[in-house]
Amino acid sequence: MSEAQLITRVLAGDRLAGRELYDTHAPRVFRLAYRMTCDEELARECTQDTFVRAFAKLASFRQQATLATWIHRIAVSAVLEALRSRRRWSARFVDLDEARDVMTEGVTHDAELLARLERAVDELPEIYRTALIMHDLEGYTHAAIADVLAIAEGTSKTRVAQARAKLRDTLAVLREQ
Amino acid sequence: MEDEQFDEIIRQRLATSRRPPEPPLDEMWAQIEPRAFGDAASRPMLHAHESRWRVATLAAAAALVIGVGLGWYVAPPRTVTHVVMSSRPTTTSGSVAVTEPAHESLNTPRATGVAIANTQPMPGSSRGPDVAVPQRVADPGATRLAAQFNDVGNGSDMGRYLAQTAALLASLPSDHAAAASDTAVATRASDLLTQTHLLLDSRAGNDPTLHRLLEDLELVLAQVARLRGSRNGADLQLIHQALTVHDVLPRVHDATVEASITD
Repeated sequence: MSEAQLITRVLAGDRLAGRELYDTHAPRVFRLAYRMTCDEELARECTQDTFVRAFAKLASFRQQATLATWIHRIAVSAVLEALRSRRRWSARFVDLDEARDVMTEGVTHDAELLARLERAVDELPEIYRTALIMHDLEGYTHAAIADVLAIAEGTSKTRVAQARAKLRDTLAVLREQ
Repeated sequence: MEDEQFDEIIRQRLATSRRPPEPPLDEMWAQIEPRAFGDAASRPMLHAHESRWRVATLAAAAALVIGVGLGWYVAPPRTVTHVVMSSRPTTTSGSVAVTEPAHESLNTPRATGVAIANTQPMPGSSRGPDVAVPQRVADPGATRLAAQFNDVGNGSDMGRYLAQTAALLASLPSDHAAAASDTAVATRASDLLTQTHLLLDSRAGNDPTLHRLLEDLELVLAQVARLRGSRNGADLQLIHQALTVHDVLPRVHDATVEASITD
């Protein structure tokens, strides 16, 4: 069944077609959401939110982009919204995080390095972090990232390069080790 | 170690440390299905949604035609209306000065516009006590124009407004002297501020997320508009700070994408 036929059937209320569309795209959306949130529960919520929104807006899908690109646009938007909400909320609990860091001081050197690496990625500005995760961790092409984020392909390349440069700067100490 | 080698090590470490688990497809679908498809009885909602838009679009087109027709009928012939930007700094109580669009007409009294009264902190605003935003006062002209935005302030129009605003904010000079002497930036900010007010009063402003974004843009654009001639270097710093703290540019980007999805 072609994508257009599938969409027509979903719009006609065919739940099986809806499930087929979901099965096609949900695994990749979930993977991306998980990479960006590092939280299974949040990734699950974002994926659900993405498909609820996608089904609600499917009638307005003009097929100027592919369905996959369109769904991923919604997904990135949903994830970034969720992350911003969580960041505002968790800003009040920084003290608790710091306390946890103190408690885990005894963990292995390797784990500590990994934690620093993950923190460095988490602290990247949102636009760089999103492009880096999509390209370096999830294997999206620059063309696909450009479509999803509605930016030029060159901008995607620049953002990934900037993200890597920022990580190199932040982790310069690790590099010497 | 070469940069490429270091990048690859980082990539591999991250790829293995944060490997996504298997997606719980069935569990997620169980949550999605009732929200997306509902009961069998509620399924025609998609069609109702479509027809609502069709009716709204037809109504908008009809209103526009009638409005233009009435305008031609009521207005005296050879009436030319143009918009001139004039600056009126508000000096009372140390609040923010805002550039106000003044509307001049050759033969008719003021046609359309948004009056900006003295500035006061918005009630219930989460912004700091030292930051004030312009308070909007509705006037009949503005209401008329807002009504037009109610019909057209969606999709591509909203996308265009957001793109123009993002371009302006992204191009803000980092040097205060350059920003203060750049009258084009302040004038553009005033134009966009007017559009922001109209959008806030339009149907687009009913969406809570968009409304919050428009309020933040209103604050930032008001600050940019008053940069012209400002001698206080902290003003520009405050603008950049507001942009960062409230994630304004990423949110504008999201809204642009959202507008393109809706479009």
